Amino acid sequence: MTPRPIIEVRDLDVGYPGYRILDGIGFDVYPGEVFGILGGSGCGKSTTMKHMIGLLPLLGGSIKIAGTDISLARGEERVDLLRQIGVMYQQGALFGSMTLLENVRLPLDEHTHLTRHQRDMVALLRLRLVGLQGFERFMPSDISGGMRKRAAIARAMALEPRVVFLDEPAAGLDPITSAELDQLILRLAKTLGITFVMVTHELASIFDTNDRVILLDKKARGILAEGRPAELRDSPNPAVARFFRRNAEASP
Amino acid sequence: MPAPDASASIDLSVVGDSASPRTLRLRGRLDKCTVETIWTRACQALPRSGDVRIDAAELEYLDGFGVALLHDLTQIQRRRGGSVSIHGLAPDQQAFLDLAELDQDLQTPSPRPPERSFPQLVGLRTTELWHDARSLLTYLGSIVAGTATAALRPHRTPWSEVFERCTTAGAFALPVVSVIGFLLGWVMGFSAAFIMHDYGADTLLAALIGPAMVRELGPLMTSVVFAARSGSAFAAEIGTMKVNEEVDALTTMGLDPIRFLVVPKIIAGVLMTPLLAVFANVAGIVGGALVSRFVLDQPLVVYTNLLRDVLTPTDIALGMVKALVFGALVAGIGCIRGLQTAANPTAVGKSTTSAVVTGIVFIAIADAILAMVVQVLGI
Repeated sequence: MTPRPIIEVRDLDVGYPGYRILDGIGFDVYPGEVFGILGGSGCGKSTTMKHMIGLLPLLGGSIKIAGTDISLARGEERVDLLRQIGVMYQQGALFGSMTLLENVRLPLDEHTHLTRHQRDMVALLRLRLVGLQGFERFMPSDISGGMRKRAAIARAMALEPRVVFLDEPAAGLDPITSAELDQLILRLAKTLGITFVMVTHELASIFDTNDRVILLDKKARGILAEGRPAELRDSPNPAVARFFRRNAEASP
Repeated sequence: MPAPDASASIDLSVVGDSASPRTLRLRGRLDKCTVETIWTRACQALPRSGDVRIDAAELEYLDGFGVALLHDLTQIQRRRGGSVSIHGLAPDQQAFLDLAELDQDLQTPSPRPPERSFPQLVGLRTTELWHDARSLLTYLGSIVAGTATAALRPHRTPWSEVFERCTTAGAFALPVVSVIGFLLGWVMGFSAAFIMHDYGADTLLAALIGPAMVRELGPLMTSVVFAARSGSAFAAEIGTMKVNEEVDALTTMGLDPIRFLVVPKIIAGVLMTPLLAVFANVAGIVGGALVSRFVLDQPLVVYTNLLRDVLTPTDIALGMVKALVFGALVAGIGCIRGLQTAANPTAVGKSTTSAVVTGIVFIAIADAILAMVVQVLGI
C-alpha cells in the first residue's frame, strides 16, 4: 500500500507577484524519501522551495505539509507547521555572532520548555549526528564551508522536523566534501526517517541520494519529467536526456 | 518510523527497586512531545552507584530528544562508576542509538572563559589601543600616498566616483546641515538674548553669533553630521566589500583599493565639508538674525552692520580650513575602519560604529590642536 504523502503540491503557479515562471505544477513527496527538485538555472527550483517553506506567497494552487495547507495556516497552526520543517539555506545562514552550539540550540530555546542542560544535550547530539563533535564552541567564521552546511543541517533538525529542505547542498563544495555531505544526508534519511527535499543540479548528488526527482523546465513552464533518477537518465524524451547528459559531461 | 504524536504519552517505571542492576522500564513514545515530562524523573530514578538496565521493549517511538535523554542517563551513571544498558529496542531505534554513540560522552560545553582581572583588562585594552594606533597610522600613510598620487596624476583618479560621492555626501546632506545650522544659531541667540537685554547689549547679538558660527560651531557641527552620515556609510560600504572579498578581488586584479575606494571619498570629504559649512554658517547667522529682529526687537540692519564689522576674512578662512581638515579626517577614518573590517558579518556593524566614534574623537583632537595653533600664531 502506498503511504500517504507528507507533502502534496497541487496546481502550483511558481513565481513572484507579476512574474510567473511555472504554471500549475503538482507532485507528492512521501515520508522518508530523499526527493530532488532539479532543473537548469532560472527554472524556478529555489522559488518552488520558497513557496513550499512559506517564504513566498502562493500565486495559485495549494501546498499541504503533513495534511495542513501552508497558505491557509494562520497563527498557532502556522507556527506548528513551521516546526514540522527545517531548512538548510545555500550558504548555511548560521548566525555569525553565535557559536555552533548556540546556533543549534536557538530553536530549542524558543520552542521547548527543557532546562538549559537538557537543551544542550539535544543540541550536542545533533552536532554529533552531523559529525561536528568537538566544534561546539567554534564560530561559523572559524569553520569550512562543508562544516557550515553540516552545522546548518544540525540546526534544521533541532526540533525534530518531519521534512528538511536543502537548497543546493553541494554548491561551493569540493567533490569529496560534497560526497561526504551526500552520505550524511542519506544516513540521516535512512536512520532517522527524515524526509529530505533537495534543490540541486549536481548529478553526482542526485544519483547518490535522491529516491525520486522532478525535472523542472522553464520553456515547458512545468515539470518535464518525474521518477527515479536512473529512469530519467534513460528517458526517451530528448530534453530530459540532454539535462542528464550535459550534467554528466560537466561533472568532474 | 512513525510520526510524532502530540497526544502520545510516555510511562517510566522502576522494576524491582532494590534489585541490582536496577531496571527502568519505558513504555510509549519517547519524543519531543513527551521527553519534558520524564527527563528529571528519569535522572532521579538512577541509583547512586551500580549498573542500570533500561527495558525499552515496549517503546513505540524514539526520536532525537529521547536519544538525548538516554545519553544523559548513560553519562550520569558512568560518572557514578556504573553503566547503563538498553535492551529491547526495535531495529530502527537501535540503528539511531548506534549513530548517536552512547558509549562516548556528549561534551557538555565548557563554561565561558573567566572574567579578566582589572590589571589584565587594562593591559589588554592598552595593547589593543597600541595596535589600533599603529594600524591607523599605517593606513593613514597609504591614504596620504594615494591622495598625493591622485594629485600628481589626476587622469588616474576615478572622477565619476568622486562626483557621485560629492552628490551623496554633499548635496544630499544640505537639508540636514542647513536645518541644524539654523537651529544652532536660533538657540544660541535665544539663550543669549535675555542676558544681553539685561545688560543693554541688545544690538550686539551679531558679535556673538557671527564669529562663533563661522570660526567654530559651523565647521564643527557640519563635520559631526558628516561623520554620522557619510563616515559611517563609507565604513559600512568598504566593510561589506571586505567581507565579500571584493577588496581582495581589486588587489588581485592589480588595482589599488586605496585609489579606487578611498581617494574618491577623501576628495569628496575635502570638497564638500567646507561647502556644507558655508551653508551651516549662513543658516546659523539667519537664525541669530531672526532672534535679533523678533526677540530683541532690533532692525535687521543693526545685525548685518555689526556682522560686517566683526567678521574678518581670517575668521572665514579659519573656519574653512577647519572644515577641510575635519572632512578629510572623517572620510579617512571612515575608510580606514572599513578596510580594518574582519571577515565576519558582525564586523561591519562594529566598523561603522567605530568610524563615527573615532571620527568625532579625532574632530575634537584636531579642533584642540588648531585652537592652540591659532593662539600661537595670534590669528
